Amino acid sequence: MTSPSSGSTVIAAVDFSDHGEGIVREGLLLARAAGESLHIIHVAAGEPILAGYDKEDINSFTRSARAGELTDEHRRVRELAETLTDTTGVDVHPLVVMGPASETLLTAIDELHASHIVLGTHGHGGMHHLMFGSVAQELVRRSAVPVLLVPVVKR
Amino acid sequence: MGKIVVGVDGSEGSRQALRWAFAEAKLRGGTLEAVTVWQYPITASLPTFGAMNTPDDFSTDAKNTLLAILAEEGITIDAPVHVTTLVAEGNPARALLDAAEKADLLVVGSRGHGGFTGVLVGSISQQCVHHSKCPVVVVRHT
Repeated sequence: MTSPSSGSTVIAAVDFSDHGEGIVREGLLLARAAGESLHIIHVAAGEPILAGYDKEDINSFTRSARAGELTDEHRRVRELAETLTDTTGVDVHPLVVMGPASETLLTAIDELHASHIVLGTHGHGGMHHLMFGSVAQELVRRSAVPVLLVPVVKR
Repeated sequence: MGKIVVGVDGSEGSRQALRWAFAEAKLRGGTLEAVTVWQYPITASLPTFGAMNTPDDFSTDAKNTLLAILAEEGITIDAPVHVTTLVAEGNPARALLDAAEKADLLVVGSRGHGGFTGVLVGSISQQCVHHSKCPVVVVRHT
């Protein structure tokens, strides 16, 4: 991970499976107001664990499929960052990291010296505790910096 | 112009939220609404032989406390941010959510007066995160 020269940055944690625009928008607002940069971080899922299968055949297939997905995710985050840097005047950095989401984001806050982290919460789903989202819950509990939670409304 | 709503209950956590909200409103050139909520004490349902406070008393006390906190934090009428106050009665989370209905941000401390010291995220903050339609900033109590 590279740190911006200004020494402080806002992290926007995006997940392409839900509505990331609101998360990026809030991150940009914070970064612009404070004159900081923005890191758009996509936490990619790790390798699937295929317990109980004969891994000889499956491994090569999932590895290459996963590699393709990761390349695609990298490209999307990079393109988003480039577009935003050009259009908003905020210095936007793309980052794709693999690992368990909460731990990875907490590490990113430390290593990037982030001032804030922005992430989404799930809308009104079925179970009460799932509305918050386990990653959001963990970040609110453990992040030393303010956490901005963007409601992700199901349409 | 943006509006930031912050919940203030006098706890150190809520003061940190207030400081953050004020700084952010200043940076964004927006307005700040400081909200405090009071509730009838449980004893209000008991006979009090005429010594009971009126709703106006509770409301005035809450307002004075809020203004005192703002002053202590250096947020006065000549502050570079347009600051309004709101005193509401009832469920704190409900009142904050109502106040933030058209806001750009709702700011809460991670933990207020309620709960046990071992609780890391207060129930009011959690309810706000769960039900808010606008983004919520949870400021960590350090």
